[in-house]
Amino acid sequence: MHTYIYPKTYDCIVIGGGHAGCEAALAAARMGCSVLMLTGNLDAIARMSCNPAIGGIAKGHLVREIDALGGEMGKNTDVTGIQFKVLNRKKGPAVWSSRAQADKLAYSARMKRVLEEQAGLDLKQEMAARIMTADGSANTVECLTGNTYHSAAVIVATGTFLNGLIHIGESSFSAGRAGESAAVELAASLQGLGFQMGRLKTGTPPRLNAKGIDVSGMVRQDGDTVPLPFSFSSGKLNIDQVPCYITHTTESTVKIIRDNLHRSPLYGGRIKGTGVRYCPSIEDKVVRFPDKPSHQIFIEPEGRHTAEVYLNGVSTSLPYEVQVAVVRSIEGLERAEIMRPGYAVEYDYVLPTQLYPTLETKSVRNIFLAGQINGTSGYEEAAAQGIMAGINAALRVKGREAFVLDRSEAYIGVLIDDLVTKGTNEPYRMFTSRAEYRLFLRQDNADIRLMPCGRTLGLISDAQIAKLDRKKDLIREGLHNLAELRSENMTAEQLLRRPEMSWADLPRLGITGLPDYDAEVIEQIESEVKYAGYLKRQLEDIERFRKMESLKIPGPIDYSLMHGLKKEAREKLQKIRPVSLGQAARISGITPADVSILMIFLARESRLHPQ
Amino acid sequence: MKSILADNIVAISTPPGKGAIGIVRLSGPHAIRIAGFLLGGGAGKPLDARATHTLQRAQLAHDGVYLDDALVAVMKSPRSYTGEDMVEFHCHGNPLVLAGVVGACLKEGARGALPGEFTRRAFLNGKIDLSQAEAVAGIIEASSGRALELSMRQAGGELSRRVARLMAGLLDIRAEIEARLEFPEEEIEDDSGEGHSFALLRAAVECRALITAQTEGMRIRDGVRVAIIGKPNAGKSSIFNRLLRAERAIVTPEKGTTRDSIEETVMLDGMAVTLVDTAGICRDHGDEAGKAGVARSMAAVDLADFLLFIADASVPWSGEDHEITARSKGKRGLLVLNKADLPRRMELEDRPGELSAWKALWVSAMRGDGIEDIKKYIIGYNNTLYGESAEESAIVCSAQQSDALHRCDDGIQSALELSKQGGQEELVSMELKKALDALEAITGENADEELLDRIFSRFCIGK
Repeated sequence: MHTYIYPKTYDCIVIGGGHAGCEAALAAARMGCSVLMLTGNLDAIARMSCNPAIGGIAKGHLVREIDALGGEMGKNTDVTGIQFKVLNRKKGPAVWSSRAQADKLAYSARMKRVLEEQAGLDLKQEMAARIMTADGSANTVECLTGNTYHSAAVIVATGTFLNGLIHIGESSFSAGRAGESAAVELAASLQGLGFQMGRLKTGTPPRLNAKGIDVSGMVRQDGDTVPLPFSFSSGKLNIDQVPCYITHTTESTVKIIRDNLHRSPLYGGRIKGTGVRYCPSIEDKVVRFPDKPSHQIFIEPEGRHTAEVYLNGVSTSLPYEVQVAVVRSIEGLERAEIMRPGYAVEYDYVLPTQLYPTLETKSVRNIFLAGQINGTSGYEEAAAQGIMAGINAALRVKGREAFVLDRSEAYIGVLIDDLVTKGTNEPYRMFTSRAEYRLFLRQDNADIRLMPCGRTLGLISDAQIAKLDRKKDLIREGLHNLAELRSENMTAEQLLRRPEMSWADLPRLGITGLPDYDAEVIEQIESEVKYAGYLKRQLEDIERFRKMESLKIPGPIDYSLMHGLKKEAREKLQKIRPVSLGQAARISGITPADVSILMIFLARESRLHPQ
Repeated sequence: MKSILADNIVAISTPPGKGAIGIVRLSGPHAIRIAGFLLGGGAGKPLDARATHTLQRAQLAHDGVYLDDALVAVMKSPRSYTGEDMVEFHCHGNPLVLAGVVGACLKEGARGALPGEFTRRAFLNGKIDLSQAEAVAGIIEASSGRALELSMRQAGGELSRRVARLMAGLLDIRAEIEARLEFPEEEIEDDSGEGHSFALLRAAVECRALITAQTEGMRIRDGVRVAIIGKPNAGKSSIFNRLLRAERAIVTPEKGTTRDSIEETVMLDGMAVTLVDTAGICRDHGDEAGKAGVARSMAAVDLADFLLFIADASVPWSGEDHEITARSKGKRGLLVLNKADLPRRMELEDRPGELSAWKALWVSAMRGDGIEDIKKYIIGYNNTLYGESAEESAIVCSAQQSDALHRCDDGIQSALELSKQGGQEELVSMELKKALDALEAITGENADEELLDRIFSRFCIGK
């Protein structure tokens, strides 16, 4: 076979140009690494393979955090978004989460441009086939063309491409996603490196042509009057927003699906991978909730310059002709034409308990994994891992200390800790309820929580930090004003603390003299006031949590020598190789008694081998 | 020295049920402040103003309830066993007293120590050496197993069953709240048909019922009362003293009772039994004080769980015997035929009808014959009580489990309070999580993992 060794040696190769790959490549390059991105299709950079939206509950938090670390997802969404909305506004600020409908093509094109312009980053259209190692450390990526690239670190962000298998009705074929070939050789290479793999399944609904859709009977859903940007660096968004529409399935939809269930690869038993409970297919919904007569469907535009729309809520892998019947049974879609059918895709993932919290694999040094390959679902979850993998690969190459966010610092920390500590056997999606310090980890304070980290890493500029400091001053000033200003015998702070009150209500209640702050500042002041007592309690919990996290476990440790530990506990610890006592305590099946034993053992170790 | 751990731990440090004194240990950065709450005012210098390694006598009380006359030792960091600030309460060795002191510390913010935790802290703070620490590692496994076994045996599974039910209820409420928070655009129907405030009330009632059952269980475990009754000169005091002599008598926690009182607690087979000598009450009847004594004596019979009827076997049954036994109707007890060393003038067949179901023992208090049999019989009764309590409503828990139930109750009550104000679902959920986390101390199961399962099995969610 032809081989050609590319003369340039990179610091870091990123395999995959999706949401994880883009953030990984940008972070590493921005930290001064020479980076190569390999992708099977340069026109599919940052492609939104499923819904045309970024953010949503808990996902919006992730986008803000990525932004605070100098990532691109928030900025890219602000530039290419076509509808912005803060969800859960009627509930408490901890669960407010931004979501934007994005123009898919624009999103992809703008991200491609950013990558192209990034200094230190090369882009090449190549299918990676094999990762080679020397002395247990990754150093080479060989492509299907036979072209070979050397690099100090490799980040694998292949999404659903590893042994991807698409199912539509009775037919199935190899593909990473519709229209692109699967990564078969790379999957074999990863297996050859000794990684334990699993199989997952995800799916997507059909796309329709808008001209056959009658929205007259549907509920129109608009964006917020004042769209709130994701990125700290975006100014006010001055855009024309486009609406989405809500419709419903009918009794005949349910009947059509039921009559054709045997033709579904899911129920016909041909799909082996575990599906997403959070985005169930319409077949799943009908089977699992047989009493529900009708299901809500959202019609979302795929972009500003296309008539194609996304049929959110009808993810399906039924045969094409059944999909046509299903679509036409939905109110307002009686004459709709499918442009692309829905499908299910099965793919390999690497059991994420084989990773350190840096996303580096435990068994092969300098290989980092990010995104769906780790068993997650969602653009935002992928991007969050991407930026962390990129940062840690760069830190490794530069010989700097690793960067890990813990569960009390960020949703990103919760996400990665869950993956590497507990693992997952279904596509993992972020939820706010996964964050035990939810009141503290809000999207409104992601900047304050994480921009200083971004600065230390070299991903946030001094100018941005100066702007952040100004925002902090305003918040302090605002809080001070609230404590001072009174209406009769109540301070503004006391008034605002009532659950039903907001900043905007204060003048009506007789509070005058409040400065005119930006929405972002007000949001944060409100959160601080409303949650004051609870935040104090949560911060105490966080202090306790951090004590356990700070008790580091220096590797490698031979757990089989640990007297008093049960066999199961020894095996679990050996497998997960926790980096701290805190992480050890979170491994399922590890009891407080096990942790005590571990603690004593560690204290002895460090005394015997002072570092 | 700054401790690496932020919280304060408390535990009874002496073996259960043995020794005239019992020690409660408290360790952590706020140990001295917490102990201060038990000392109250008027005890001279406040605890934190005292020099380290000093001992002071103090009347311990908490929330207006008298606990014990104790010696309090203060050892300041780093010169203590754990290396942290420590306070030791040297109390009388009554399990009730010790549990009271621990309970007061828990209420003031300490948490129950895990097995071996003091030693673990000592080791981590560099106070003890390797071999000691390794010994502890072995003990931890063993003692946690014992603790589990104990709680399984004591509760007969009832505690776990009821806690599991409470947990399931709380989880359901959380699942519904979280489903609405995580999926604001979904049409989440109220599948229970009652809304979460009703379910929350039901959980609150269930949790309170558990606490009541648990309190009842503690009473059974720690306070089985045995009243010694019989006519004057039947030998009640001799039997009382005989029963006390072999075992070490200890004072009861009630305010004002002393070693001279007519009530004493003894440990029989590891369980506390309070003996009440009604002879002490009945003395000198006829005058005003005597009448009051009779009344108190009768009250003692009513309060008792078990009666020892002492009859003088050297004389025939008398009207007085019948009079006294009338009060013991429906009670359980033992007929003690004393003075068996003297010629017998009493026939068992002639005994008062109320005593016919009771077992009778021939005893000589003077020679000490049969005293062991009385003890065995009381122990047997105590054990039956245990068996029954498992089936009935009473639940016996450890101090930690009891603490967990109270913390759970706190969470539920705060959640109720918040949900009354309306909205604030994320805070209601946080309080429910607190309640569920507290129960984890009993079941060892973390409910977080199950939350999402509940959401997706109950609600048709996801686009």
